Amino acid sequence: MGANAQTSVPLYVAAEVLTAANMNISAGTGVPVFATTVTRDAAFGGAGEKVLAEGQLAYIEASDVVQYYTGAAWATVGPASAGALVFINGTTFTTQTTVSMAAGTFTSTYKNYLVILDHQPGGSGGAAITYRFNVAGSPQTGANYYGSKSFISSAGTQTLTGASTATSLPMGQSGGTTGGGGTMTVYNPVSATTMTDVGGVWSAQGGGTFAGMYEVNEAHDGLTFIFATSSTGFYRVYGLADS
Amino acid sequence: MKIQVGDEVRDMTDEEAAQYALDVKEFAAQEKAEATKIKLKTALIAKLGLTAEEAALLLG
Repeated sequence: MGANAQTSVPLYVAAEVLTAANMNISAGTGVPVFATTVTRDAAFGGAGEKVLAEGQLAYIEASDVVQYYTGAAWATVGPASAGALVFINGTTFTTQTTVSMAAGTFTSTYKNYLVILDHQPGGSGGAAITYRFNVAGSPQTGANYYGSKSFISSAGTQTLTGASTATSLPMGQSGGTTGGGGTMTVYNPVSATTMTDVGGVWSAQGGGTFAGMYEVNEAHDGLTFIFATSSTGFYRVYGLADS
Repeated sequence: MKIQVGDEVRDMTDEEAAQYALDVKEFAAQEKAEATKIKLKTALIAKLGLTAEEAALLLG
């Protein structure tokens, strides 16, 4: 029990001597603090205690939440859990040709992940981007990648790229210096008994879609991006909660 | 040649550098194949006597 935790919410009666201890309860706890919901419930309605009524606030140490009483039940202020879309990690990179997620980025905490990549190539060369799945932080380079990419340029020219027994998967296509960004969903990467699949959308001077998989039943804990021209940018990884 | 893993930037291992060299070759081959495909398509459209608009209608 923390220093602010209390076990009752006292009321005072006419002519009662107001002690320092009485005042300290009032001064020290604007919102009453309880160790658990059990001590919270026990603190109201007893002899000399405040009657629980709508609007009462309480802080619960065990769950680190602020609650309010509706008149019928206790409800939590703000989200009761972290939410459905949870930031995992991300980083910026400067003039890199290969950027890899840290080992353990994908874990069993989430079944599916959302990844955002944005980059600006540093030169006038080609700006194709491919990606690989990581095992213990290292990209898998076996010829087990199957997928495709469709990109329509701003001139209306469509480029279709297939990948079969490839060593990486096609993702984006940017101008030499104009850059681009993509969003991808990574499906069930941590399952050791299924294959990891990915699908996404790429935006640049034009747009496209990409999808693919690594045809080996194994768990993956991150992605590695490979740039044809060294690039500056960032990536972000989010876990998609099941509820 | 460098590689970035999470927030850490380090020198590539020999294996990583060799892999990136292969990747660059593959990028170039892919780019060449795509350029060739576009060139052939353009030549075919010209052979058929279609305008760019007509070709877009046909292929769209």
